[in-house]
Amino acid sequence: MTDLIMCAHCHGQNPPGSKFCNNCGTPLQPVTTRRCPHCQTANPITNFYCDHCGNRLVLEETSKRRETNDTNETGPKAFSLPMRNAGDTVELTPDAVLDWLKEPKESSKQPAPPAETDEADTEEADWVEQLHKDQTGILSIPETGLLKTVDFEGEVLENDDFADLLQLGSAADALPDWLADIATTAETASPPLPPAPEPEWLDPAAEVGMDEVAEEETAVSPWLEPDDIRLTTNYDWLTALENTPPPKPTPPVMPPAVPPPILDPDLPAPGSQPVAEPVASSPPDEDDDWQYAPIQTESDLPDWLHELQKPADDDQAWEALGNDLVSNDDLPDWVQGMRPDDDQIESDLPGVSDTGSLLALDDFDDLTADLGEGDLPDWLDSIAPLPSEPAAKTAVSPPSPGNNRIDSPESLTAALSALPPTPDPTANLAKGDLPDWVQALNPSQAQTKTQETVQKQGPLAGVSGVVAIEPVIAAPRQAQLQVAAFTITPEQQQQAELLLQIVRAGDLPATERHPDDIPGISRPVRLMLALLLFVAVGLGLRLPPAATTPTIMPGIINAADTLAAAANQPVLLAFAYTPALAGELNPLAQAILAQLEAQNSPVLTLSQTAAGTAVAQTQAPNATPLGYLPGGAIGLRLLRSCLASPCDTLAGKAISADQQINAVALVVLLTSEQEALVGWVEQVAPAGVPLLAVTTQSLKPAAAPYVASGQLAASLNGAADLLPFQQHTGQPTAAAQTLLQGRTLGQFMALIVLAVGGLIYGAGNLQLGKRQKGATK
Amino acid sequence: MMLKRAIPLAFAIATGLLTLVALLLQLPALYTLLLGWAMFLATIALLLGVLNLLSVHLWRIAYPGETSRFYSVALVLGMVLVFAAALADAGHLTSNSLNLVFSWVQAPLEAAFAALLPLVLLFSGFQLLKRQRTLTAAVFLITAVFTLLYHLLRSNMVSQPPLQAALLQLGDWLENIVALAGMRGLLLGIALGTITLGIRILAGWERPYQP
Repeated sequence: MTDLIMCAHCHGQNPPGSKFCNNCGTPLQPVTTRRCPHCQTANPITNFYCDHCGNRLVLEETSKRRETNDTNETGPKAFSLPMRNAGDTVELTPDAVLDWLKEPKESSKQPAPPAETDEADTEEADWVEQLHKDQTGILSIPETGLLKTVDFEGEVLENDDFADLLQLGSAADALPDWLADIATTAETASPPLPPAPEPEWLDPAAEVGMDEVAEEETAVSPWLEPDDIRLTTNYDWLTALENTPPPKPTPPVMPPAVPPPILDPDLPAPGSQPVAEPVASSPPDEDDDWQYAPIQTESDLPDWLHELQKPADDDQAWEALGNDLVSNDDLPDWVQGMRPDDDQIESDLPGVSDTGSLLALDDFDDLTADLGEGDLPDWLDSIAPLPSEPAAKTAVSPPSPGNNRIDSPESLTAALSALPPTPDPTANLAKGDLPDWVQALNPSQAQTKTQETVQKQGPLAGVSGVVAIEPVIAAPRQAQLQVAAFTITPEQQQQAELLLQIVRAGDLPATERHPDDIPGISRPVRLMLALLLFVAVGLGLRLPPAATTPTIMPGIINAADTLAAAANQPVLLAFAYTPALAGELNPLAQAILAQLEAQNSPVLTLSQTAAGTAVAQTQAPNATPLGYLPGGAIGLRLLRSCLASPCDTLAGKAISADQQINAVALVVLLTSEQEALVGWVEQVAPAGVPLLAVTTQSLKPAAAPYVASGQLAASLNGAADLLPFQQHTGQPTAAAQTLLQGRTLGQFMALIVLAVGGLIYGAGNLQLGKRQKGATK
Repeated sequence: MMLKRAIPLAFAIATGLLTLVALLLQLPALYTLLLGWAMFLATIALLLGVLNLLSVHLWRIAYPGETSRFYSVALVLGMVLVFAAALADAGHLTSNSLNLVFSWVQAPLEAAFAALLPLVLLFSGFQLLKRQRTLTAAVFLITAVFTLLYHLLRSNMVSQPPLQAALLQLGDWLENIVALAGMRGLLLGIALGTITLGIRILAGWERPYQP
């Protein structure tokens, strides 16, 4: 979606990024700008880099996000007022206001579109804040194991998991109002809760209730719910859930991260707990075939399960398995070092089979019994019981080597029965030795404490074992709202009033200016001044020229000598002025052309302006035209190449034989523009051809440095140099004297006007200042 | 967006560096070729500008809106007439018709507007004296009066030998020292700005080719 820029002057539509109106040419003020943090330049909102300094305007991450969201702009737009500079009198029109600003009520009624925020931001947001915001609609709470997605309007869910949610809360009197409302609604949406279910981690029976958990999970499929699903529509499985009777309230159980695989009940699972039975009431969904497909045959089982299916009570199989697992190659070196020599094969050393190659697992227990005390390593000696600890020694004392060999369960039972009763290891410990946090884990105390916190009122009335809610969670937003007071600055107030004015008002009538507010001088005075100037100039042109003897300056002589040096050689005249200044430069051009004609120099004409070609054609009709030279400095650079060396083309045009550019002995530039003067001096003068500048009088300060540096051979500046040049070259001076006379009288009149005006307003200012001082006193 | 920004940037930097190297190493064949391309593009841009101007005013004639279509009609007619005159001259149907249009229309109009310049300057000076009562206004007044007086004296139409000699010496000093120093500083500033701009364009910090 592209936002066209509306012109404040003609209301024309302009494409984004336009700086000037395509309709009327008025500079466009960007409605929404992105100010450069480096140079404070207001850039179009579409810019990633500053137009002025090139500084990056958008962070890398933001720009990437913007680039990805360009095609899907659903988020709220940034708010910014139309910019008005100081002194800008252009009235702001409602057309320049964004549409959404014009319809604040409609937009406020509509639900806010989902804000485009980072997932990380969503995760980091306070869930209680989110809960508060969504209390009138759909409550979405990030799943933390106990929390579920709940619709308080009863639209979708009637779930016992709400009890889990409420167990995170505190007593009703500690709840904020909004949470109390939620709880009240929840009472209508969920059946009464049984009193005081113990937490899962305190209830050992929870481990046994895995079947119930499996049933519940299979019905609701909570592990398939992402963290932030908003239930806005009824799904089929939820409809089915509504039709099913509500399950009995169960203690909150952490759902497993991965659903347990449902196996064939006929298959044994050695060494594991009973596997949950498949739920017959929940037909397998098409998408969940991987989950519910029962394993019918043994061929469906993986190989490792085949291995586990082998009868484990077969002693031979276990022995073979042990032999496979424990071989000489697998034994560490230190164990292999304990292997007896061949002559000791027949000995009673434990761990050595009759074959001498493998260790029997049955005999491995006899290893410690057959070892002598001297054979024990040091670290085993260090943990040997001391003689002063009879009880511990009795409990863990190893059998003495050699004689007390225990080789049957009966003998072990008899030995154990002969032992004295083992005292309670905690009997000698005082209660004071246990830290508080350990005592808090005492199940009996925990039970007592839980019974003390039975809720008496509120939505959790009758519920015990409720974990007290943290105060910072109980009412965090209220405190912040009360503390955070908005301070409106006068500037903000003014901006708000301006915004209201823009939104409410229609087309504002143009403000009429009071006659006294018109800047400048009054119309009669202006007419009188204009009339005086015209009269002065007219008199100067009409009166017979006064006999004056101008002073011939060194620059005039230098210019005449430069022209004379190009006698009988081609001279290039560049017309770089428009007819606007023809009144000042045409007489100079005629004087130059007359001098060149007098010294028999062929003239070539060239221009870099469209009007300059016409001027050249009118002023030098007998010259050889080279036409229009486009490209600015680039064209001048190409001309320089042709001046320095022969060339066939200039600016794409073929050069004929009579256009002897490379034979030009002098370049005469007639210009009224400083840019043209600088361009010709910098691009053409290095070619080695002398350059004579004929300029207006206003360009004399610009030409003087180049004359002083030698880049310009000479310069003639304005009508003031015309008369001396003509007198020095012997040309007739009557026309030049008349022109100079009219110009001089006009300057004289201007001088008089300025002097009189300065005196009048200066005196008026002094008088006004005295009045103000008197009023102050 | 990446291609839209990176490709022009890379092309501009590469072309600029190539031209710079060709100019520094005096490779006229290379820089003449590049400059020829640039000039061709400039000519095409000029033609496109003319066509854009014509289309804008044709659109305004068709859909004038709140603005008057009179000036648009005059502009389009002027363009068509001048173009037709040029074609007639080129086809030898007429002779010098284009110069006639220039001499009888463009030159007087431009001269008339230029003649308003002294009036505008005079009124502005008058207004400045009325509205701005600052030191700058006083300096402007003194400078304007002195410059006009200096040129009056330089024209030898006012003959007061003692005053003329002193004012002419002062005027020459101001023109050859003060004004020359100021103009040299301005030219040096332009040169430094040009160098800086060239470096910024070559480095990609300045992108005048991007809106």
